[in-house]
Amino acid sequence: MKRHPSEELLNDYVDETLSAAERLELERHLAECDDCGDTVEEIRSLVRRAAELPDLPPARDLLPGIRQATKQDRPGFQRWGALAASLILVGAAALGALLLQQRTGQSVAQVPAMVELRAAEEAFAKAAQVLLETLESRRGEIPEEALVALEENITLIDESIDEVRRSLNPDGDQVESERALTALYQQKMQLIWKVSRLSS
Amino acid sequence: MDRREQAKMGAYAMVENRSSSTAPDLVAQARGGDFKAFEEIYRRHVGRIHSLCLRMTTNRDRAEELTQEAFTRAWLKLGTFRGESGFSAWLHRVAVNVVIGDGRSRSRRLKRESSVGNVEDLHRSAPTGVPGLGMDLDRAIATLPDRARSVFVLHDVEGYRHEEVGKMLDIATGTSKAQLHRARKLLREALTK
Repeated sequence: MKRHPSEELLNDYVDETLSAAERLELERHLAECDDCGDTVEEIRSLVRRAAELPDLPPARDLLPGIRQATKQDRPGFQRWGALAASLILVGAAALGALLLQQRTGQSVAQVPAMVELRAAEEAFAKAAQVLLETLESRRGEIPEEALVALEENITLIDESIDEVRRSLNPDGDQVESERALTALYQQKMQLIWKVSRLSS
Repeated sequence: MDRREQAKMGAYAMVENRSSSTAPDLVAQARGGDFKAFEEIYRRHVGRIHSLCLRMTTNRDRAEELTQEAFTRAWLKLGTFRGESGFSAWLHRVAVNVVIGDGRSRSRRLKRESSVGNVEDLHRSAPTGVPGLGMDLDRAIATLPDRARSVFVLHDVEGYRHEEVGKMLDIATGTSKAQLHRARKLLREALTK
């Protein structure tokens, strides 16, 4: 390297992002060029100092403002949100496991499958009930129009669930119907969950 | 692990190392709604989060507002923390998003950004007990143009990679590199005056 390398190249050298060949060539130049060596040392020193800059704590305690902003004095809505999320997962896992079991062929006779489907549905129904009860207890904090829209949508979803359930044939292939049921239950749970978050 | 991979790991490792580690059970307690646990998390991390906000904005009032906003958002988003990265890195990323989001909306609102930061705010916040070294550099950082300052703080102070910085600031990786080199050059000049 006869000409001085660009500053970009020197920066890349300090950042260790050059290829082995580029690095070798540059190091040959640095061995002979004090100016470039000084620049590299300056950049290195700056990078080191930047990484070692001390923390600068705020002049005042910011916790009261954070407490206020998170409305910490109210019962923890986030806790309920996490519970809702876990209930959705539990319900989805129950139906998902059922579908998987049937598709992998380790399956069970149709009648037991129907029993398991009912069990999974019951898990969903219980989870939905918990969500709805909690939602009810916080009704005052949620916009009225959101509650109206929620009720209308839940009615529609429940009607669809009934329709799919009626189409279930104990003697035939139920995979598609069960998939549709899973999607409807998840839709219902997520809808309740989303509306509940409007108040947080 | 080659150099490039080490560089990849840089940001998270650096963030984890620079902050006191947060006991997993403290995070678990906070996730469960225990605000006392969250207060302890705040105390452990506030210095570092506030430093980021102050160095990025160079304005003490805004830095405090943004620090408060970052912790508020962290509390509300705790349920989304999955533990893939360390908690400090996660919290830090929440703060970075808050600061950058605020900068964008402020920039849209005002249609301008002062090209020179508020040196005195940064100066006043620098710990006086530390020999002038860090303080001098902070003062110099505050004089950088906005984009160069943001890239320098995120890359050299906070340890993020150019790819990450580019995504955060919505700029090309090459632009991030160019801005970093510009910032370093300006800082070297300022510090040798």
